[in-house]
Amino acid sequence: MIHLKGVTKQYPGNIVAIRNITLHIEPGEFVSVVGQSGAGKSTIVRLLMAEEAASRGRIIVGGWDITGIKRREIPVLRRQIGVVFQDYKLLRKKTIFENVSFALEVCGEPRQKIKTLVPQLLKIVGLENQQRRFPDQLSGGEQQRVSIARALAHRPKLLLADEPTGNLDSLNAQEIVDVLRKINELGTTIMLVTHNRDIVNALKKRVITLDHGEIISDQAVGRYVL
Amino acid sequence: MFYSIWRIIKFSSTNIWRNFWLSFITTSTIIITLMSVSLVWALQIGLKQIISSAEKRIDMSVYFYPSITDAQANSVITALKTIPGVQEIAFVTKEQALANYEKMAKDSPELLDPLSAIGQNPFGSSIIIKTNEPSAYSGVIEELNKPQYKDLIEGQKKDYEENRLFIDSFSAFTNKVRLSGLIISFIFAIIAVLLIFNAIRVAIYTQREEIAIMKLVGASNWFVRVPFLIETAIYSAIAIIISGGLFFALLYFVQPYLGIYFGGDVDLLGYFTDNAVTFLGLEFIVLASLNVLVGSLALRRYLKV
Ligand SMILES: Nc1ncnc2c1ncn2[C@@H]1O[C@H](COP(=O)(O)OP(=O)(O)O)[C@@H](O)[C@H]1O
Ligand SMILES: [Mg+2]
Repeated sequence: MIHLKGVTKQYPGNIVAIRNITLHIEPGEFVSVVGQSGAGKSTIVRLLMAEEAASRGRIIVGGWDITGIKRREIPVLRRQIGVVFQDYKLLRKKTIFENVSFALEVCGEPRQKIKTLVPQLLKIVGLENQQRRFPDQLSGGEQQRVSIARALAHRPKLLLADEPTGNLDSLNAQEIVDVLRKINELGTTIMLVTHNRDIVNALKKRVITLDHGEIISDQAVGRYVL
Repeated sequence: MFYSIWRIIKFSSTNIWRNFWLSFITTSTIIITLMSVSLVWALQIGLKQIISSAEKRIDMSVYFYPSITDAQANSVITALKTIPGVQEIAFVTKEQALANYEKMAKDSPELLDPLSAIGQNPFGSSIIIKTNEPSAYSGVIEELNKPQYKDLIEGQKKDYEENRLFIDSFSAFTNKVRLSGLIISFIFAIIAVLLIFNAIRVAIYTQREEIAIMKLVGASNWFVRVPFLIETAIYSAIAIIISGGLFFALLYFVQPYLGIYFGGDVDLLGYFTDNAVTFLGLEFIVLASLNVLVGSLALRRYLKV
């Protein structure tokens, strides 16, 4: 599902965020990426969604070599990848339903499809009864679940979650991880970027540890080692 | 596709309402620009019509000595007809000259006294020359100054010189007015361009969250971009309708006065009614291309899509 081959990302000002990373993730895997702040975790997410271009190396996502991806091809890539961030990125003036349907609307999906799909997506994240509420009326965990529902709108094969539990207490965080786990069981590959030790240890899944832009450990059933 | 178009229009109108005052100011500036361009255009047409009406009234009379026969006069006419620009030469015989004088003197019989004292027709024949443009008269004058006509021609009527002077100074005035009009329009046009640019920037700013999410979930670039272009297109369309309406209302109001001062020769309302499609169409085309240009520039700078 994901192949990074000798990937280096250098930001302007000679900042090397990741250095010569090689990494393979198979379809259906649930991989946690851990590391201290500034280790280069988010940079990997940005490279995978083509928000940034690699300085060196090759990046293949779902069999598609996106190393030299053209600007107009980026939307096509984005519809195959779901992304979730620490700050949810919900529209405050739109309801829960509208926040999810927005993602489908702007991609030109027909209204009928949106009407049937959005409740299904909200059901996956357990919010089928909150469709008419606004983000500010929900807890942080619930808001994050809305953003997960939105990320699933295009039925992606890959879900990237960049510190989705960063703003949540441990109970809410656990709920989010449970939702991700459920989505993974439905067949979606998941890359979870986090520095929550308890979550990683409880997951008992593959863990990749980054430090100063390099992979320092990659364990099939890993623990939080830093 | 249908969904997309409908949604894009929805997005654009949301934008316009959200930044109502900005939309209002932008549209107003476009209206002012269009109005000033329209007025310059109208001024240009009006002045042109005034000049051509004045030019039409210019003619030049050449008077022959009473002793000159019609045959001699005709040889002059033949010579003058070869001069480029000469459009029409009318011949007034001695008898007609006398008749004209008598007609003029009908109400003041004392003017007829000298005539009866002379006892014969004292008038010579004359010709009235019209050219298709004022400058052509200089050719005529040059020809008439040749020595062979010296003994034939008693005099030329100076009317022509005065008219010529009027037209020359009026043309100079016209050019100045036209130039200042163009400069004013140009200034308004620049302000309008800046405001359109700014309106798009503000729209991008107020919509930055939506745009970020649109890009995140894979909305195509044109879906992100087109609402802003539609927004400016809506400003332009509204501006054209309002300024067009105001302009025609103004013409409708002013035309009767123009008619009084200049007669039927100056007809702005008629001109713009006949050319309404060209006039408004041209405004639309220029504005639309300007929008696409300015819009693309603003979007490229402020929206890396
Ligand atoms: N746009 C950027 N320009 C310059 N440096 C950046 C940029 N984004 C990230 N960095 C730097 O790259 C390094 C890795 O950043 P990031 O991938 O965000 O780390 P993490 O997500 O693991 O905290 C950091 O040193 C950060 O300061
Ligand atoms: Mg980060």
